[in-house]
Amino acid sequence: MADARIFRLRMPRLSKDLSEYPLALKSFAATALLVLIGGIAAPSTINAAAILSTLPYFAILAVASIGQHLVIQQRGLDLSTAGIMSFAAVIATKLPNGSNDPAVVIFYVALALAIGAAIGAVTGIIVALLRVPTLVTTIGINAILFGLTYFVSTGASVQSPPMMVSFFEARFLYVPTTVWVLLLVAGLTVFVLTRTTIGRRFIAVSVNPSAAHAVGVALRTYSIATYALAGLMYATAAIMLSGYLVSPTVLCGLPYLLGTIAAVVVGGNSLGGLTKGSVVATVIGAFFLTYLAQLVTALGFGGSAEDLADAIIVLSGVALPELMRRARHA
Amino acid sequence: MHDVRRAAAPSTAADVPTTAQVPVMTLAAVRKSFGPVRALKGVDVLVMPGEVHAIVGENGAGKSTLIGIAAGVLRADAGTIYYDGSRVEAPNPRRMREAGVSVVYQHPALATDLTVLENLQLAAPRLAGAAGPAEAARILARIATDEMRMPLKQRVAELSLAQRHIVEIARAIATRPKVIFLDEPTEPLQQADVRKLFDLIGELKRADVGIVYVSHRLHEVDELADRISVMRDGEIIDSRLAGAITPTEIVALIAGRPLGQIFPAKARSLGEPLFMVKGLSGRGFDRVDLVVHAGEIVGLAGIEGEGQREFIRAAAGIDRRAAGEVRVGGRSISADTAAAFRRSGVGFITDDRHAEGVFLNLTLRENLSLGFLGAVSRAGVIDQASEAARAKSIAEDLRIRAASTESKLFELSGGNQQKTLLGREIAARPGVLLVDEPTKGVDIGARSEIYQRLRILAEQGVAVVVSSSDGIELEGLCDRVVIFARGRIVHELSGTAVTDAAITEANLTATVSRANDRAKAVRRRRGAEFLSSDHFPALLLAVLTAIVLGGTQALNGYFLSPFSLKSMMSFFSILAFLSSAQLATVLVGAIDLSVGPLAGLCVVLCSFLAPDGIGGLALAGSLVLILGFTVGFGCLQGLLVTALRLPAIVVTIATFIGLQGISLLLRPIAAGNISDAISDAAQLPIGVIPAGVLLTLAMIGGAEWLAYRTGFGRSLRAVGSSPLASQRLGIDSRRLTMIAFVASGLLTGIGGVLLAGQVGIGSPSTGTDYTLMSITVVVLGGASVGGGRGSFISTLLGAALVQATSSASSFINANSSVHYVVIGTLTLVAAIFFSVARHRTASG
Repeated sequence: MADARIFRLRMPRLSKDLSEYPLALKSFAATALLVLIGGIAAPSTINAAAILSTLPYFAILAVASIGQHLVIQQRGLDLSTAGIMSFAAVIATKLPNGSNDPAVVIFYVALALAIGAAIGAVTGIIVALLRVPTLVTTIGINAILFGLTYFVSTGASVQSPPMMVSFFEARFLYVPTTVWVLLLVAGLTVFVLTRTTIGRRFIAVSVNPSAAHAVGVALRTYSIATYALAGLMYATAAIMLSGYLVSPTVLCGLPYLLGTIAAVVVGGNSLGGLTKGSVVATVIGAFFLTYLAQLVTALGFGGSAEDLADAIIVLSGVALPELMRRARHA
Repeated sequence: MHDVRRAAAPSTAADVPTTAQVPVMTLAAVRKSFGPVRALKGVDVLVMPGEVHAIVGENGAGKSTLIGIAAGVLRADAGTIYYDGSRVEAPNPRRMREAGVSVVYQHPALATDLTVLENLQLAAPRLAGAAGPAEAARILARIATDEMRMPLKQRVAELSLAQRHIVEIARAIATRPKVIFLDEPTEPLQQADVRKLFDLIGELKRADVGIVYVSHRLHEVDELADRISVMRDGEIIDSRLAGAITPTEIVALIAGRPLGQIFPAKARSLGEPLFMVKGLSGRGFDRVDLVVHAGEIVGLAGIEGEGQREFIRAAAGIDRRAAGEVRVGGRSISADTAAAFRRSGVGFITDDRHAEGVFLNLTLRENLSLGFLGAVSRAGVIDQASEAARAKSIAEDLRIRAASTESKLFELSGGNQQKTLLGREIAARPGVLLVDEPTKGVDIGARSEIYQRLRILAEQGVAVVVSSSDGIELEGLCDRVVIFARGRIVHELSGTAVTDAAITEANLTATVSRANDRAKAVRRRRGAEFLSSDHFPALLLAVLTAIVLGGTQALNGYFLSPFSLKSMMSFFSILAFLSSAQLATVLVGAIDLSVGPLAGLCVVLCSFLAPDGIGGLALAGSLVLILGFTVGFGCLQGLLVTALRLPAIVVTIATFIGLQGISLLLRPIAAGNISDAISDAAQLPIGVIPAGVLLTLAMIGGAEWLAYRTGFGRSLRAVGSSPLASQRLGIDSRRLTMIAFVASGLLTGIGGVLLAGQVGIGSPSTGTDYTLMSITVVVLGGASVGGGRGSFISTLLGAALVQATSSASSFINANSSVHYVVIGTLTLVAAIFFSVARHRTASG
C-alpha cells in the first residue's frame, strides 16, 4: 500500500495525458475529427453511397498496412510492398489467361498468395541470416519484382477473371466482401498478438530481441515468419485490388509503398519496435488516409495533389507527437 | 576565491594536506536523478594536482554518473563544477575536454569504423598534423605492451576488447589533460598491461596531473591511491587519506553493514550432482568441467575477460558452445538453442539487465509471465485471469515494489527490476539457475533479499551458479568458488576457504604466470584483411566495369562508339553526383530517398526556367535559382531530421512521394523544351575529357579529401559510426547531419541540372529511378548503410559499374524490365557480399 503511494507521488499527473491513452482511441478521435471537418467542407463525402464506395479501398489499404505494421513492429521497414503487390496482381490476373474456370482462378490466387509469402520469406532470410539492413534488402527485392512484373505482363494491363471481380464487388449482409476479408485478417492478427503465447513472444522480440533470445525465443524464426506473413498480406491486398479494379495496371501497387507506412504512422505506432503498438490503430489510420484521399478529390484536386497530401500527412504524423512532447516539457 | 572553494569542499576538508596546494577541480554538492532513481544525492569531490584520488563503491553506487557529470556528458540537476579556480558554466564534453579534463570510460565508445589514429585525432586535433602519426605511436607505446601493439591504420572494429581499452586510454592522455578520470581501467587487462598502466599513472602523477581512479579492486586502490573516498547509494560516505583507512574498514563501508547481516547461512548438506558440464569449450573458454550439486551455490570468479562470463553464457545456452556436454540430472542437452536449454530446466539471469534482461516497455505482469506462459495457456491461448493472478502472487512473494502488476517495467527501480528477473526465472521452475552478476546496480536492501532468495532456491534443491566480480559477494553467498584464468578453471575454494582475500589472491597468482595469447586471435588472414579494406571495392568495381564494357563491346561492336560513349559518360556524371549526394547522408547514418524525385523536379523546373533559346546570363540566373531551391530543400529535410529528431527514412519517403506529386502538378505530361546550352556546356571537351566528367572528378576528389583528410570529415564519419562516441567527444551530431542533408541537396541539384540537359524536355518522372540507383551505387562502393563508412572514390567506380551495366542491358535488350532486375540483383548481391565479408573479419 505504501509502495503504491510512493509511486503516485513520483509520477507527476501531467504524464497521465494523451500519451497514456490507447493508440486506437487517439487515432479514432483524429479520424472522427477529420470526417467532421470533411463533412462540413464537402458534404458529398459523408453520404452512405460515398462511404460505401471508399470502403473497399480502405479495406485493401488496411490489409496491406497490417503487413507493414508487423514488419515495423519487428524493427524493420518494408519498401517492397509495392513490388509484391504489383507482382501478385499480375500472377493472379495475367496467368489464368482469360479463363474463368473456378479451379484455374483459385489456383492462381493461391499461387499469388504463396509467392507473396515466399518473397517475404526470402527478404526475411536475407535480413535475419545474412544480416543485410532491411532497407537495402527490400529496395533491392522491390526493384527485381518490378522488373519481373513488367516481364510477366509485358507491360499491358489485363482484365481480372470475372469470377474474382464479381466476388470482390459483392456484398454480404450489406457489407462489401473486401471489408469481410479485412475483418478476418485484422481479427486473427489482433487475437494472435494479444491472446496467444506466439503473440506474446512476437511482442517480446520486438521490444527487446536480446532479452527475448535469453528467454528462449527463436529470433530468426520470428523474423523470417514476420516478413513471410507481411508478404502474404500484401498479396492478399493485391488480390482484393485486382478484383475491385477489374483491370489492374502494372503499377497498381505503387501507392501502397507510402500508404502502408503512412497508415502505421498515422495510427501513432512508433517506428523501430520498442513499444507494443496497436493493429487496430493502424487499421483506423488506413481509414483516415482513404477518407482524406476522397476528400482531396471531392475538393477538386487531382491524383498528384493526393501524393502531396500523403507526404504532408506522414510528416505531420511523425512530427506532431514530437512537437507535443516538447510543448509539454517546455 | 579560495574561500569559495573551501566552502564547497566536503566535510573532510580537514584532511587536505597542509601544503599550499589548491584543487585543480572540485565537484560541489552534485545531484542527479534518473526518473525515480536518485543516482547522486549531493556529492563533493576534490581533485588535487599530482594526487591519485580513488573512489570505491559497489556497482550502482553512482560512480559512473559522477564521471559522466565531470566529463560534461551528463548535466547535473544541482551542484557546481570548479575548474582551475573558476566556476564552469554550462559544462559540455567539448568544453571540459578542451579545459583539460579527460575520461577513460569503463566501456570505451570509439568510432569503430575509423582507424586507431583517426580516433585519437578526434580527441586531439593536433595529431592530424604531419608529426601526428609519430606522436600517436609514442603515446600508444607508453600504454601498450608488445602484445597489445596495433597498427595506427587499423580499424577499431577489428581490435580486441583489451586493445580498444588501450586506444581509450591513449585517447584520454593524447589531449594532455590536467585532470584524468579512470573508470575501472584494468578490467580487460592482463597483469603486464596493468603494470604498464600503473607506471603511466605514476608518470602522470609526477607531471602534476590530478587523477581520479574509480575501481572496486581494493588491491589496486591500495597500491595507487593517495586519497580514498567510499561511495554508497549515491553519496560519498567517507573520504580519507590512504594511510588513514584499512582495507577491512573500506569493505565494511562499501557494504554498509556487517557482512553477516546481508548474507544467508550457507548450505548444511548437499544433494546429488545435478548440473554437470564436461569439456565445454567456446569463444574465450576451453574444456571446462564443472559439477554443481542440488542445494549448492557455486561461484565463478576471475578477472574480467578470463572466460567466466563466456562460460556461464554458454552453459545457459545463450551463446553457442564449440564443443562439450551439458547435463541436467543425468540427461544431456543435445540441441544448441536457448529454448532447448530452458526446456531442460536451465534458467539464466544476465549481467546486462536493460539490454538483455527485462522488457522495459512491457508491464510487470508481461515480464513475469514470460517465465510461465506454458503453465497458463492451453493450445497456445493464454488464460488471462490465471496469468494475472500468478503474476500478482510472484510480485507479492518477492516483494517487488510497483504501483501494480500493470506498471511498465521502466517505472521500477533497478533492484525491483532485478527481482522481476529472478521472479520470472523462479516461475519457470528451473532445476539449475545460472546468474551473471546477481546484484549489479541493485541497492543494498534488495541485494540482501536477492541473496536470501537464491539460498531458499538452493534449499529447495536447485543447483545455483553465480558469476561475480565482487569477491565479498562470492564470499558471503557461495558454498564453493572456482577461479577462471585464460578460459580454464585454475583454482577452487570451498567451505571456510571461500573468502574475498583468498579469491583476490588466487586471481593474482593466476594472472602472473599468464601467457598472452589474445593478441594472436586478432591477427587475421591477409586475405580477409584485404576484403574488408576500403580499396578492395574500388578495385573490384573497376575490374567488373571493364568486364561489362569489354563483354558488351564483344557482343555488339557499336556499344563503345563515340556517340554512345558520349551519352554514357553524361549519364555516368549524373549518377555520380546523385550517388555522392546519397553517400553524404549515409556517412552520418541517415539516408535520403528523395534524391531521385528531387533531381526529377530539377528537370521540370529547368523546363520552365531554362527554356530553349534562353540567354546566357538568364540561364546562369535560373540555374542559381534551382540550386538555391535544392539547397533549401536539403535544409528543410535536415531540419526535420535534426530539430524534430524524425527518422530520415520516414521523412525522405514522404518527400519522395511529395516531390513526385509536385512534378506532376507542374507538368502533368512531358512538355517544355530545355535549353541545349546545359548539355553543350557539359559535353564541351576540355583536353579530351568532357567538362561534365571533369566537374564530376573534381567533386569526387574534393569530397574524398573533405571526408578523409580533414577534421570535419572525421567528425562526420564518427557521427555515423558511433553516436555515443561522438556524444562523449562533444561532436555536434545535429549540425553535421544538417550539413550532410544540405550537401545532399546541392549535389542532387547539380546532378538534376545535368539530367535536365540530357533529357531535354520537362518530363515529370525521369528522376525517380535514381533513388534506387544511388543506393545501389553506394552499397556497391562498400559504404555501410548504418553509417560511418564509405568512400567517394569507390562510389564513383560504383556509378561506373551501374551505368555500364544499365547501358549494356539496354543495348543488348531494349526491354526495361531487365534493367530493374539487374540493378536490384546487383544491390542484393553487393549488400550480402559486404555483410558476410565484414562479419567474418569482425569475428576474427
